[in-house]
Amino acid sequence: MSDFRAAYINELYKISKKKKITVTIILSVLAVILTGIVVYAINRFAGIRITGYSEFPTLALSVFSYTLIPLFTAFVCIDMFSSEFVEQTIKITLTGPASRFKVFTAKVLAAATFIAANLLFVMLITLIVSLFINGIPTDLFKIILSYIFEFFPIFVFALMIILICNITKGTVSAFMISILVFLLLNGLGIVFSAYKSFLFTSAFDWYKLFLGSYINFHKIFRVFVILCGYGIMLFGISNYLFDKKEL
Amino acid sequence: MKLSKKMTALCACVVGVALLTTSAFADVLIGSGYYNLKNAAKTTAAKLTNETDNFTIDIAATVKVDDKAIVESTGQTKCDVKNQATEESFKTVDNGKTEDGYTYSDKEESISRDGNTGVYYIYKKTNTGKDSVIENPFNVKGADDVEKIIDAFVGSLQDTVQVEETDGKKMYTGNLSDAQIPPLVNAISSYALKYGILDKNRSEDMGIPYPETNIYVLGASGKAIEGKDGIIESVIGSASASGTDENGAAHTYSVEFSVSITDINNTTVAKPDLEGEDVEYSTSGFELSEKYVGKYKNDIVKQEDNSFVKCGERIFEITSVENGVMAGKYYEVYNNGYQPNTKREFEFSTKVTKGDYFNSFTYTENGEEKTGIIEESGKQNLMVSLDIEMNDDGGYRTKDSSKNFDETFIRVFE
Repeated sequence: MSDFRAAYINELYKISKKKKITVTIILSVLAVILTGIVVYAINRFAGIRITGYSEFPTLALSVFSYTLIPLFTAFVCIDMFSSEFVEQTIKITLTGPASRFKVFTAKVLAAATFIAANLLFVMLITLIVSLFINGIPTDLFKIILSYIFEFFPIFVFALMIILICNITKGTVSAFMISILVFLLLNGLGIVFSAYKSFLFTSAFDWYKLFLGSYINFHKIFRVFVILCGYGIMLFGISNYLFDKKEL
Repeated sequence: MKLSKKMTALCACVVGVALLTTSAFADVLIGSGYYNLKNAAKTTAAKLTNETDNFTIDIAATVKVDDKAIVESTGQTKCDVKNQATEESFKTVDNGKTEDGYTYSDKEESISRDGNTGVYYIYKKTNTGKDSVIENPFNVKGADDVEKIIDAFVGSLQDTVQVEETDGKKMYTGNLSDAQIPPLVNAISSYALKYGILDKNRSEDMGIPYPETNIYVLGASGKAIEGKDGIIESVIGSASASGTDENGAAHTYSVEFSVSITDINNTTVAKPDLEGEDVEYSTSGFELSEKYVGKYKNDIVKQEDNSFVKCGERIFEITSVENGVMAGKYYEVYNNGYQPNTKREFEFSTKVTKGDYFNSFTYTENGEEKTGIIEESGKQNLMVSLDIEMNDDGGYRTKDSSKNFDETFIRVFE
């Protein structure tokens, strides 16, 4: 177990040293502040409260869950897999005492940690910005719940990128394909809206299922099982490909 | 036994796919309440327009500000699908003032009564039988695309529609509250409320506070009941928004409505008895008749430096209209000093072809056969366009796009 912990800490350390983390932090703060200014300005000049009755953090989540958060997740996952293979730094990791399976799991866990941290960070700054727009949020519990549940579809998305990274050779191709697949899945969800339950991207706004006065637990359970199914499948295939991948 | 790596991967894949597909299939099969409701609406529209002979729709709506009713309106529409006729009546109480109206319409004519004066207006349709009176709204061109756009908008809100089944009847209920309303929907509806439904003048007229700032949708709820035959029998719904007026006081604006479909195959649509009533006739479109015989003119005007100068007059004269044949002439008279090189002038005696809103005729000018258009302008005046080209869709377009020719001709009463 100690070698797994070492591998996990090693991955986290590598992520934290990346310049992309600083960029993520700065961009997130800027995007949140910009959204805040837009929301404030529209109310000031057009008299319309864009956030409605809901809170600014939930509004921000509905925007960022389709834009910044998947984008940063893609960057980090591609860095952890494709870049290391391209730069051959993966050799250093793999020559350590941890088995390939443990290295793979450590990497996936590190990606999950990054997503959770990113969501937590966005939630905190939106909460601070919302103090200036709508005052103190009244329903903090629902806001926290929304951010927690948003973790799951984004994590499945991360697993999909990891799979793409293990199929493709370069970082650019991995990135382009990830973006294409993301857009394609969202597009398919719109065109074949009756069958969109099959696409995990349609679960990107599933936290809204918790926000209403009527909560459809059956539906939430089904979506959760769908996400689990995707998770197990993608993890299994990616792990196999990672194991077979030649240095 | 230790599984090989390949087997583990395969197992993970199989388990994952199994979980995913069963759950997703279940999800698609169960469908969201929203999809069921949408299908019910489609079935209702299709059955009402194709399978039933007649039905009645009752509609009621109330607009409230801070729980005080401002406008109350009720309406009833009787549809006879078999004979393609409808009867509509409505009553509105707007700030204490009552207004009512009645319209009967079939393929040949439509009869409407002015609630204030009690006068009946009969409007004879000229394109009889072209448009059907009752149509399925889901079959209208472009309805598919609109449906897709709405689906995308509704997104995850689809699951807020609940379905309950009792005694073969289905009840759909939906409540949208607080945080659920998507920002875009909220923004568009708030914008519509502030600038479309209530503008500053209108809210002053109605004596209600105008929402200046902080406008947002509070929530919406609805309930629909589907009968055993798959037809939605009744729908009730309400929506409310909040806004702050210029004094900083918050107000709630709400609208409530109900729709019910009753008397399927049990409705009679009857033409009103007009004996002893005030009646005024009118025809749709324009038909050139004898009353248009006369002289029409307008001024030929030129711009000189920064002022308009009259150079002369265009005269369009109709000498006779008989059995759809119009005779007359067009000529121009110029003032001294403004004589052009060629003066436009021709006579005609031609058959007039009736279009939807205009009549076309042919004339010969400089040995060339051309088409012209006559339309009514106001009551006694005419719009005359010369040298035009007919379009395939029944419209027309002028070949000369310069503004040199004024098309409005004023009737001259000697």
